[in-house]
Amino acid sequence: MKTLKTRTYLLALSFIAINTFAQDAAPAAEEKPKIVMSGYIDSYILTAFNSPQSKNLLGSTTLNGGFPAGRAFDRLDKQFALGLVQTKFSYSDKKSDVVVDLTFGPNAELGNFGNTTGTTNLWRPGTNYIGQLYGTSAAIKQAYFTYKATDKLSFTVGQFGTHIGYEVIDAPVNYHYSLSNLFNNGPFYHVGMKATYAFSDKVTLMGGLVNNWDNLVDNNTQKSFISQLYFKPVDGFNIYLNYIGGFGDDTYLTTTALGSSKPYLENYTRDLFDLTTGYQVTPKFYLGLNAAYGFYTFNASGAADKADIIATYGSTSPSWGGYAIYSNYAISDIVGIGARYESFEDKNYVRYIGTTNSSFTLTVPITLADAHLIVKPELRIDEAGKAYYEDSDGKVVTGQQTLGVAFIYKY
Amino acid sequence: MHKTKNLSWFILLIISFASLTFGAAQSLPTDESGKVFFSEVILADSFPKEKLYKNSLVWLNSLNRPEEKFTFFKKDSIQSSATGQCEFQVFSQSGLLRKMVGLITCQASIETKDNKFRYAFGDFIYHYYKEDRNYKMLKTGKTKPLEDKDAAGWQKLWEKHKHATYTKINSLIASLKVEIPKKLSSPPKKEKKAEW
Repeated sequence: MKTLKTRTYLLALSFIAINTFAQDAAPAAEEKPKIVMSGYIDSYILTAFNSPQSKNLLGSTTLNGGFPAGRAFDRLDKQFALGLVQTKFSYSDKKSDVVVDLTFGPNAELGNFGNTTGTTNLWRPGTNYIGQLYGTSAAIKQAYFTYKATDKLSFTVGQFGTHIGYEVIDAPVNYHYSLSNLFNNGPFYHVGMKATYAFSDKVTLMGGLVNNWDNLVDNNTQKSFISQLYFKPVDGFNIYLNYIGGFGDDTYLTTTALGSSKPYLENYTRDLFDLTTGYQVTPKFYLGLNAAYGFYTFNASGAADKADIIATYGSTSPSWGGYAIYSNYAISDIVGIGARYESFEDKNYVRYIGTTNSSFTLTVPITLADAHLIVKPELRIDEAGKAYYEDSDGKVVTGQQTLGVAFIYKY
Repeated sequence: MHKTKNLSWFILLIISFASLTFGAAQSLPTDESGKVFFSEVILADSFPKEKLYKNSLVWLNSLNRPEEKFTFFKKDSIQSSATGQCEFQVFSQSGLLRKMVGLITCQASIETKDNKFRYAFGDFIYHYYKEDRNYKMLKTGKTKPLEDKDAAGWQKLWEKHKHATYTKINSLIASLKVEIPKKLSSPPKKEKKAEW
C-alpha cells in the first residue's frame, strides 16, 4: 500500500515537473484564452501637524453644509486605517476582454458612492426594492466586456473606470498615495457603453454614452457623452484629451431641484475638458501634467431666475478646474522620489471642495518583495484660499500638513 | 523483473529531481567577454546555402506570435544571412496570477553556407514596464542587461526572467534545428483536366 502511494506520488511529481517545463519551452502557436487574477490591499497611518479636533482631514464641518472635502480617501488622523481590498479577474481571447473588478472596504464605498444608498446619491427609481437594486453593487468597481469587432474597432459595455484625469482609485497605479483634488472632484466611473477606434498604435479615438457621473442608475433620460483622443508622439510620451458633458447630467443637482421651484436646476448643461499627459524624459526621470476645466451653463427662464443663479453660484456659467504637475525620479529599483504640485479652484462650490486649494506632495516609494510590496512615506502640505481646515481647538485654519506612510501589497 | 521495476522508479525519481532543480542548476552561456551568447554551427548535409537561407527567413518570420516578435534588420541574399531583433514577454507569478511585467530583447542572426548554417543570439536586454492609468503595461525606457547579477528588491523575479530566457532560447534553438534544414513540401500538382 505504502509502495503504491509512493509510486503515485512520484508519478504525479514527474508529471508536474515535466509539464511545467514543457509549458515553458513550447512556443505558443496561437493566442489562447487567458484568465488573469490580480488585486491589492492597502492601509495607511498619518499624522496631521494641525491635529484636527475632529480627527478627520476633510476640513471643518462648519463649512459646505457639514460636508467639507479637503481630502479624497486618506481622511483619518493618527489611526491605522484600511483602504480597500481588490480582487480583479480578467478574461481575454482574440475577440473579447472581460473585466470583473471587485473592491471592498472604506475606500471601495467612497469610490463607488453612486452604487450605494449614500447621502450624495439621493435619487431613487420609483420602486420599493432599493435594497435589491443597490445591495452588493458597492462592491463592483468595474464590470465590463469589450468586444473586438476588428483589430482597430472595439466596443465596451458595462461599468468602467473614468477616462478623465491622471490618478485612479487603484493605489498601486498612482505614484502618490494621497489623491489630488482634480481626482476627487472629477468622476470616478461610468455605467454605459463606448466605442474605441485605433487609427494606429499612436492615435486612438473613443466615444460613448454613459449614465452621467458615478451613477449606477440615471434619474432621467439625458445621458452624458464621453470622448477621448489618445496621441503618442513618441514612445514614452502619452497625451490624452478627454471630455464628458451633457444636458441635465448632474443627478445630484437635478434631485435637489425636485420641489425646489428652481427650474434652472433642471435646465443646464455641464461640460468637462481634461488633459492628461506624461513623458518618460529619461529612463529614470518622469514628468506628468493634468489640467481640467469644467463648467455649468444654466439657462435662466427670467430675470429673477438669473439673479437666483448668480446669488447661488456667482455666475450663470460657474466653473471649476485646476492643474497638477508631477515629476518623479527612480533612484534605484527599490527607492524613488516624486513630487506633485496642484492648484485647484472650485470657488463657486459646484463640485465638492468649495474653495481654492494649493497642495504639495512629496513621496518616497520603496518597492520590496519582488515588487509586491510598496511602502510610501509621504508628506503633504495643503493651503486653502480661505479658512478651511481644522486645528486642535476646532478652529478653522487655512492650512493642513500631514506626514504618513501607506502600505500597499499587490498580487 | 523486480529489479527492473525498481530501476525504472529510480530513473523516474532522478528525472523528477532533475526537472525540479533544473531552474536553479542551469546558467546562461556566455562569450569570452562575459556577455550572454548562444551560438552553434549546425551541419545540414545536402542543403545548398540558398535553400537554408530561404528556410531561415521562413523560420524567423514564424517568430511573430502572441507574446513574442521578430523584426528584421537585414536580409542579405548574397551573403545568405539574416539579422534582426527577437523579443519576448516575461512574466511574474504563475497560473491565474501570471502577469506580463517586462520584455527581453536580443539580437539574432542566421548565416548559411552550403551544407551548414550558424545561429547566434546575443545582446540580451531586459526592458522595464509599468502599468499606466488605463491598466496597460507600457515601456518605461529603463533597461537592464541580462548579465547583471543583482536586482535589489526583485532578485527572485530577476532569476525567473533569466530562467525564462534560457528556456525560450533553447526552445528556439530546438525549433530552428528542425525547421531550417527541412525540405519544403512542394505544392500539390494540379490535376490535368482531360480534354475531350
